[in-house]
Amino acid sequence: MNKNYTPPNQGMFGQIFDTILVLVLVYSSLMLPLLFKAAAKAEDAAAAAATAVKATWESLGQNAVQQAQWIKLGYDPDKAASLINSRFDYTIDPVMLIITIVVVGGYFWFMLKVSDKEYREVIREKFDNK
Amino acid sequence: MGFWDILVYVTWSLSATMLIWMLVDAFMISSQYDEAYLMSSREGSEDEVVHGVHMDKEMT
Amino acid sequence: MASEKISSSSKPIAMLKVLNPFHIWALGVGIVLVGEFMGWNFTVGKGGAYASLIACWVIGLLYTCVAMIDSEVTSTVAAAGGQYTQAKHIIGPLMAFNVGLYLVMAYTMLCAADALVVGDLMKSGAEVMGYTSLDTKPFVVLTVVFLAWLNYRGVFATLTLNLVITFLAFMSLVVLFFSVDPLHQGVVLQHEGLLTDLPYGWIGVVASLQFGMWYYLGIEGTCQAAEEVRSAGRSIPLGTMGGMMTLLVAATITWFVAAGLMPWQYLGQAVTPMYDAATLLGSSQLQLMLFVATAFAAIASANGCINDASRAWFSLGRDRYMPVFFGAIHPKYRTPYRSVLFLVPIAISFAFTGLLDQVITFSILSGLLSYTFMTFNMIKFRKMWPLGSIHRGYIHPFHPIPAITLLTLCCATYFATFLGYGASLLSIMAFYILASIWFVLRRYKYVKRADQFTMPWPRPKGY
Repeated sequence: MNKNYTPPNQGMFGQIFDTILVLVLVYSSLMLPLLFKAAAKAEDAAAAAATAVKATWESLGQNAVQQAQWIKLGYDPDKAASLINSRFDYTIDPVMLIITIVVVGGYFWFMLKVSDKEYREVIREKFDNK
Repeated sequence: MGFWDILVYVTWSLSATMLIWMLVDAFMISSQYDEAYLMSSREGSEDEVVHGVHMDKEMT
Repeated sequence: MASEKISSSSKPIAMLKVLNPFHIWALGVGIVLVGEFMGWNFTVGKGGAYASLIACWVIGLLYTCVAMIDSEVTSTVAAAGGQYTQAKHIIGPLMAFNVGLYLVMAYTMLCAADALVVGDLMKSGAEVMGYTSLDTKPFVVLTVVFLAWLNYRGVFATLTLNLVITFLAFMSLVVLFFSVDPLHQGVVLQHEGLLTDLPYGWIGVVASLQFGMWYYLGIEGTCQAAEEVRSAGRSIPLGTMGGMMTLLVAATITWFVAAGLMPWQYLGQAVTPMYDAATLLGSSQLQLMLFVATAFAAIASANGCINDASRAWFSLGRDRYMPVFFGAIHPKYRTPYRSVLFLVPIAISFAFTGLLDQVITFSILSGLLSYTFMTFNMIKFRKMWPLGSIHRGYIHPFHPIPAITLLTLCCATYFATFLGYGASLLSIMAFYILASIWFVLRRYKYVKRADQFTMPWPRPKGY
């Protein structure tokens, strides 16, 4: 039977380095979408400026009950207009959708594949070389 | 200095006190105890109730 | 020097087994309940009020599958680290590393969001009392540091506190429900006037599934307490299922009250919708009650998150997936004290990035990735150790229907995230992919192979 794998011991410096590396990865992935968002924000601002007209409850399509609740919440039509008019854009970009499916699917496929290989080694050591 | 300013100072000092307390305690533990002992916990050890086959005995 | 130190003369160190099913309920519901006070209403923004209700129940079904599957595996693999330990025993090391990261990230980010809520509440409380320029930072920091200190000092006091404040926060929702005269439409509640057709059509319903997770996110954290609860095989399924029922009730009440008081466009972006609901009712007692309850819910959630994230990080350290330094247990308090301490600056820095929606999306997506993992996990678990080959504390019915339902709902929720948050989705996937590559190439060499498998099980079928 082949010998069990003996891992090297990691020094203090290596431990600190590995911890910091993971943190750097997390912060970068938090910051990354900001780049996309900055571009989208500029477009939004331009669009909002174009549609800026005097809003009334009727033009915003609010019925009597809704109007009463908006007023209780401390909103006038102008203030509420920005909330009512900001809408999500759900048009689907097929290229982006395919990229996303490939990324998520590929990630799980890669992970199951590699995990299985590593797992077989664990089981071999555990049950064969006691 | 109003109530809210004092509250902010009290909040900061409470946080600082607890943080320093934890850091000092963690440092003291490292100097008092052997590192191997602190790391000696084992998954699923010393425990007669929870794991797999052992449970049969517990249930019956 | 080393000879003076107290060393392992006697038994190895272990965490204290002091918890009961009520603590498990408090850990699970405590983490999630804040979601009924803030965050769930973003579903309304993504698809309208009816979409939110549909999302509440569809995602409720997703979590019922999660709770069933998780109860079976956890009642058999009971160890700190929860799903991470399950992945290690059933799928393999790389998956386990990823699951460990999902847990740490989901909970640490959620903890940051909770602390921000406490800060914002203090600010609006100060505004009501006439002071407009309160700095929220000290309250955010105090929340995290105080809860870390509690966690450091022992799990029993930590989760007993959670039990009390979670129960009070839940009761406040019930009181709110009865104070709006729920049986008589039009007196206080105005569903007829306020509810509109689906503003985005059915695609909005799908899109709202993403934040629908906020109604329940974190309930699966109950199994992190497996090494600290007495008879884990029984307590954890009991606490988790009980928690799930509490949350289904709480989520439905929350929707019913809020949708009957606020126009959907307002509700869809509100920071503290339940507090706003109490304000609309015009009773200062109710307002004060919801103020306190929101704070309690946020604190309970942050508390549970520190508890769960530190257990997961500790388990990663103990197996050397992460630096072994974090695998230490406090000899007096019996807590993973180094992990608790390490997560304090991390949680605070997440809170201070000011990217709340990004942090929340990261948290939700990490949760979603771990539910996707559960489906593979369950199917392999039944295949590798069929019923009867090992003892299971709990066996869930109708296998494999829950696993397939779960996978289908997960796919729908990925699509929901893609709608509106596609860039965040890709950048978060990039993080997990890079971390995985790093693990395979650089990190796995420090891990002892056979030592990872700690369950006294027979050899798995097919390996």
